[in-house]
Amino acid sequence: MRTNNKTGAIMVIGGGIGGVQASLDLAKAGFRVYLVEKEPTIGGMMARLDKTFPTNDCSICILSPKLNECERDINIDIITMAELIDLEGEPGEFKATVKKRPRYIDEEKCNNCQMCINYCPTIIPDSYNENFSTTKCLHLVTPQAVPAIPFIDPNHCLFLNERMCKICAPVCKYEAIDLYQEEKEIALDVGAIILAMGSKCFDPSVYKNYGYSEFKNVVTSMEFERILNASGPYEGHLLRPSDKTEPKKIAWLQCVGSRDINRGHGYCSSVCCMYAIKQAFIAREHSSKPLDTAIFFMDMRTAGKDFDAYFERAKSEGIRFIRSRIHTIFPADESGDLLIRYIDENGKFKEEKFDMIVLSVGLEPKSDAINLAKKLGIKLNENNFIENTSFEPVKTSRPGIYVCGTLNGPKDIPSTVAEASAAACEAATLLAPSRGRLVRVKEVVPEKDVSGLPPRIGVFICHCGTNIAGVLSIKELVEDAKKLPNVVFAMDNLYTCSTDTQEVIKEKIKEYDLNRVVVASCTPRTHQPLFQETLREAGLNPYLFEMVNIREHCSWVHRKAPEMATEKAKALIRMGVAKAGLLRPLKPLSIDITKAALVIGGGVAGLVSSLMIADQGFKVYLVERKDRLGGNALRFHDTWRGEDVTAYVNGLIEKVNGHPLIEVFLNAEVLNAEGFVGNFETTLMVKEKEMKIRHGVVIIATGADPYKPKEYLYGEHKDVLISLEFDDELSKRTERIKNAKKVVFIQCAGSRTKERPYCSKVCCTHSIYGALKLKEINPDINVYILYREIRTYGERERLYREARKKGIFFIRYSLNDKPKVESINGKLKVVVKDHVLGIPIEIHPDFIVLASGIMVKRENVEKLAKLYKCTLDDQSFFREAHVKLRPVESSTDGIYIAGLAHYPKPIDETITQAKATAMKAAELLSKEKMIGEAAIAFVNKDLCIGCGICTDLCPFHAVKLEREGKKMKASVISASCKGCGICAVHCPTGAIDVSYFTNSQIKAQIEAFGVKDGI
Amino acid sequence: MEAIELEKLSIVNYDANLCLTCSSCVNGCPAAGIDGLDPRKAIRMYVLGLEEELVNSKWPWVCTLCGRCAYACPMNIDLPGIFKYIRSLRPREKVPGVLHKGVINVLETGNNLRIPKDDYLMLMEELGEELANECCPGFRVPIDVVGAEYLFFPNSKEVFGEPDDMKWWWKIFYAAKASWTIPSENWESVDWGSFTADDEASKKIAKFKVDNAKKLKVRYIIAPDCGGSSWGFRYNYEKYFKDEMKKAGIELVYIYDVLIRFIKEGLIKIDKSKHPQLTTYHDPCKHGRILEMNNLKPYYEEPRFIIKQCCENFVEMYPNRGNNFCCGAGSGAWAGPYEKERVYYGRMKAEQIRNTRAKLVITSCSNCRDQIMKSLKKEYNLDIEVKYIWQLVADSLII
Amino acid sequence: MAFEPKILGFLCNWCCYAAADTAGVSRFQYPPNLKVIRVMCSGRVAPEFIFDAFINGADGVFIGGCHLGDCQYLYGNYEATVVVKMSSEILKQIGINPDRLLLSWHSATEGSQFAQKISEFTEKIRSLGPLGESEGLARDVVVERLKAVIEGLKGRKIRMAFGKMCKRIRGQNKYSDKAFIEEEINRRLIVPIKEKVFKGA
Repeated sequence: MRTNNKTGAIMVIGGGIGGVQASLDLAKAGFRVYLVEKEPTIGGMMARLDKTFPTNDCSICILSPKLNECERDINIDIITMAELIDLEGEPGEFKATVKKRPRYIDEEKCNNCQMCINYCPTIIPDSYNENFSTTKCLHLVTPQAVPAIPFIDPNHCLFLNERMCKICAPVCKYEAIDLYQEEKEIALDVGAIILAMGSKCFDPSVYKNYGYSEFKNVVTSMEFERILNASGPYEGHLLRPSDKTEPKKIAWLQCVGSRDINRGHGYCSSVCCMYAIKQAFIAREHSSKPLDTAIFFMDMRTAGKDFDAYFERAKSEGIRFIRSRIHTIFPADESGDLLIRYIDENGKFKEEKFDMIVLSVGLEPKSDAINLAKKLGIKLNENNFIENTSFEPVKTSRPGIYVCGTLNGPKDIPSTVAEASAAACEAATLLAPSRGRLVRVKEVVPEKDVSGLPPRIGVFICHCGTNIAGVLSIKELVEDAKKLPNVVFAMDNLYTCSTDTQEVIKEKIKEYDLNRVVVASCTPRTHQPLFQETLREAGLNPYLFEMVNIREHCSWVHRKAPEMATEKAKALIRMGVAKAGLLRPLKPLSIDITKAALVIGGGVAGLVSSLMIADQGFKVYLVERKDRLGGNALRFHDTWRGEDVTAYVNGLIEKVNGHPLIEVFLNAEVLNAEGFVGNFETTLMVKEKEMKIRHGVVIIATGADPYKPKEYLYGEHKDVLISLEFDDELSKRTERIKNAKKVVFIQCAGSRTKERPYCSKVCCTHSIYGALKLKEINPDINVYILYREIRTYGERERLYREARKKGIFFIRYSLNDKPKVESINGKLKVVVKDHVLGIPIEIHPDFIVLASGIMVKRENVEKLAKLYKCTLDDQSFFREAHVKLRPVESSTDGIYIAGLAHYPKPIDETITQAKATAMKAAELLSKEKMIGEAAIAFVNKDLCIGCGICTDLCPFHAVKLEREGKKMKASVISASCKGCGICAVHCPTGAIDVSYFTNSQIKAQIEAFGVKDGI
Repeated sequence: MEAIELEKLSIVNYDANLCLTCSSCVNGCPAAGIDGLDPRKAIRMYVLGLEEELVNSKWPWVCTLCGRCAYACPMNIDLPGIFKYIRSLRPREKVPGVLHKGVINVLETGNNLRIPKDDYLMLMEELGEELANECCPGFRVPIDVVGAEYLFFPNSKEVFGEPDDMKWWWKIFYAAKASWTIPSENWESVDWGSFTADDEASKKIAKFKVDNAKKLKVRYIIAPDCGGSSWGFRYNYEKYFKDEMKKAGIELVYIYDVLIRFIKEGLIKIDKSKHPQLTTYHDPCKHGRILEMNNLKPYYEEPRFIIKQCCENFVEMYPNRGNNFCCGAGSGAWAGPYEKERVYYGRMKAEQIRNTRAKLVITSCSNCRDQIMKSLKKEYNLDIEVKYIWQLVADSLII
Repeated sequence: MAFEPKILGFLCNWCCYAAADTAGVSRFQYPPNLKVIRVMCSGRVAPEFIFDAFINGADGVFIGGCHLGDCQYLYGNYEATVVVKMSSEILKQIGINPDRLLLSWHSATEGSQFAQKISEFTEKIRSLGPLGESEGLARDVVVERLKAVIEGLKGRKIRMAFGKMCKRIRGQNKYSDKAFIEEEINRRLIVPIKEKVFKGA
């Protein structure tokens, strides 16, 4: 046997959310990662966004912890200002050469004190803020920059260009400034490469009729993101660029650069509809007066999970949606106002003035990414995105090189994150034999024993730029905190979460011998782990930390009452400090992991997930309810690109059946489940026999069903079919298919209604593909597609164009004027109003295909959700842990979701998700031990009377009664306890309590609340 | 309303079914709404097979085929091409107004107005004398000069009724000491065949010019100033005559090429101070946008260069160049019968002009000039003077 | 100075605390009278926390959890309904307006609803005035009674009764049976607590 020479390291190129996610996944799964970023800082496009849809989460707030995690991970080397310039060797054993441009600042020596920045005399436009504001030539890209090291812009530096100035160098007391730094080449051995270079915004200057270069108040959507952003040019105040006044009317023009084969790109950029709605929402929130917002569009493509609900909410809240593509933006007069003339959907000619117009620009590949792909011999598609197939969505044409994110086609953040994990999965599978070979083990900082020592509390209060400091008096807060009991130190920070502040916190812990830390900043729900890690690095137990939320719960919600808000923040800090004084170090449980996965559902998602987990060397139990594998994919035949689904699925089934590590259970159902992440025990009913399986993770891939419509004579007339029935006939080339002269497709049959208020995402593409097939069989056939919105998002738009080119006829209808289907003497008649001419059109089709959508029967998943403690949404789809950044994880640890069970989606996205779940599973299964929750219940046996109330009331059966001598005593099963504290509320003697939220800690908070103050 | 039954979709040429019904075209079209129609509706009717209704409507004739719709069409649909096709389906006897008559005239007599050759030659002689007496001693109109450098075609409208308007060009030729000529036969510059969508006629009219050029062995053939006619000629030239012209060493030039050469080579001297007033320029569709859309070099910068040599204060209209509004008189609309519609169409142009606050409007197409000077100025109370670009040059000459 | 109500809120980490975060991110404004203690579950809020809050100056107490059925810990918010029901009853019995105690459900996305609920509750408490005012009780009487309640709740017998009652409700899944819960609370808890509070009277 050949010995394994594969290198256990992966190069990830591009440090946006895709690259960051792939890096984190791989590092967690036992690989070394080189994260190569062209810019001086990682974060990519997501870092520059203000908010994210559809939850309106603050983008940098949710991204920042990941960036910091990346920087902290000792198995991730971030190489900034660098590009891959050469690659030799084979998959598994590549030799890569990276060119690193000079930063002119020594990354090892710099501690980001920013003194040099103060002295730099050269003011330059700040491209991070789309040049709406200025910065220094020597500057930190953003306050949250990772790595937090400034850089010198070589295009503007007086010394580098004219050998003048050089004022910065002597200012730096760390001697970190090196103006003679030169470009260098770094050679790296890597086993695989992941391309995550993202895309860029389309430059709208070619749309001369939109006057982007002429009118200051015509901005791109990215510029508008910066305008809205608190760290943007106007500090989050909604102002228009021309005169810095607050706009009262803003319009968004969609599809600038997208769906335009004339001046832009033919494809749909997938994200613009949603981000325009989001921007309208956020702009309205930012506006002090009611803001008129209008979105001019062609089709609203809100096809993703919860997107349609967002669209509906936008409509109901008064955001105007006008189906009209604007030809020209006129200056209204000299005031900077803008004028547009358009015809509305009812055929009325209108003229409207706006204070500001946002061009919703699309995404396009970056030239450096295109060049690199060409250099590496990687095939690009017609749009210069990476060419891939539906079945191998993250593989490039060159083995060993994978791709994720918008370089792989336009897409949103969750799809990028899923692709990142999927690409990581491919790399991890390729290099599975070398896992762990190159990892560095983190030095464990010995924990300082604080028992018996009086509390010495340090308080760190965050400005969060102006997010907090713009409302609260930070100075007062610091002064007040200094006077609180046990507080020996208090300070304020511009951004407490920034990397350099973590160093400050560590220094202060040392300097003041702190043994408790309180941070008053944003929400602990996102940022607590970061600070706890800092404590750990400083040798303090991470549970000696308390976080106070003075942003989400204070400055952001009490802007109109800054004084009272400051008083409130004081109280909150006082309460946090009171609790901190009583904090005790906690030790989490370390548990062995059962190195096996349970995959529930034998459709494409389940099959792919099983294979990818098993290929990484882990045991898989695959459970399928039916008597055969394959799921829904057995019922349709081609992908939208014409790939053979049947052959693919059969191939998967064959591989699964032949895999030594996969055990398949057909006719099997989950009866019961116990345990927790790392150690589950699931009882299966397999052909009427019960059996127990032990496993560490669960993949839920239970799929979905087609909706059976009640509308349009379905079930009443033999010539009314749903898509899957039509597919079946199409594949068999039945007489009906061959002889048809006229066929009508009706889209959204039962979707996007009150009952099912979501878009099934696949139907538009699916119907168009079917229609084209009909044309192929009989070019003379007339096919009519009646639609509400054509949602051939992304590169699928090509298919839509092809259908139109081939003469397939599209008629739009609205929900309140649906097509009428009648049977007259057994013959079908469809009447629909033409959306342009307003006249009724009558069609006598041979048959009708209803695009009926995808749904989940609640009874199929309810029990499973309960057993594994996952939540379902209103439509019975499994809910992910975080819409943006944890798209394939459930909120319960160790349970992952893929495929239609999560939301309707096409096969390529299902495969991506399945691979992503396999990566998540492998991250866990590749570990020897799992570290459990530390904040759990504990029993004071002296007080326990063995009454058993806690045992009975614990929802997780995590407290048991054990005999101790003559008495029964309660005892906590640490691995099962989730720390809810219900036991502590009900214990008659106060014997059981819950760590980190103890009775005495909460009481201390209540008492601190009671201290007299201004409110 | 009665339902239309779709038995069979029309044979959809021009990729018209690519239309996403986005309404860019409507939103950019000054004729939208006239007769209850607009470009999008027209395309939809065409696609739906309601071709007859469209052919019978006046809308395709009110539309000036200016191409502003197609310029922005995200699906690159050749809307002017389709509307021209619709025009071609109109029975010839039902072509609105005098246009078709003009086509017959030109094919039979070599000019749109049946001006007899003798009258034409006599007029030229008299006009030449006049000019010589006025300011150009020794000037005479060169007719059928073999081996002349430039071949120039008169516009029968001028020959017939506005002969003095020809003197501006002649003055320039005189000042530049240019070698030029006009033909004695088939001399019509204007191509009404392109207006009536009579491709055969248009080709024949182009051939008149080509044959004249070959016969007279000229170096340059000057495309008609009239936008539609210049495009009609250019279209046929590119399609049928390019190779033979190249072989004969004859080059097609636009009026701008001629003027710029004269200025840049110092052949004429210009006094800027004669035009101190605020001046703007109207881009004729077919000298700019239509060329650009057909991947040919548009004349955007050349006229601006010329005007800036002659005027002290220049201001742009908004929008301009490829995005400029048509005057409303193109593609035969000036000569056509739909006056009310033409004036309505011109409202956008009038507004654009008014917004510039310019006192002098320059353009370089006879239809544009007539529409602005003779119609819009009056209808919309514009306080302006209108000049051809060569008129501007002629008026600025230092002789 | 005008009366500014003091309100203490116990928000569960998963839903209501997150809803408050969402309100923040979305900048939904509400009065600053609410101070927050984060707990992992609304079921973590012991009745004595509520009374302690009143003793420590709260004019109103707010408890926020996940919508019923969405609890991260399956039963926690159901338990909270029992605790609040019981505490309200006790408040009533000792002469304090039970409207001063509010239990409310907000999912992580319901930021605007949270902001609105807090605004309404703040106004409600404002209209009631300082604790004791609308009740016509002197501050020291109120505190005395509340302290007696807490003393009572510490008693092992009462606590056993409380625990067992919750077991019964859980065991018989009677969370939605109002009458059953009221009967249980009144019979087993209110009588002994009232005795404790008013023993001197």
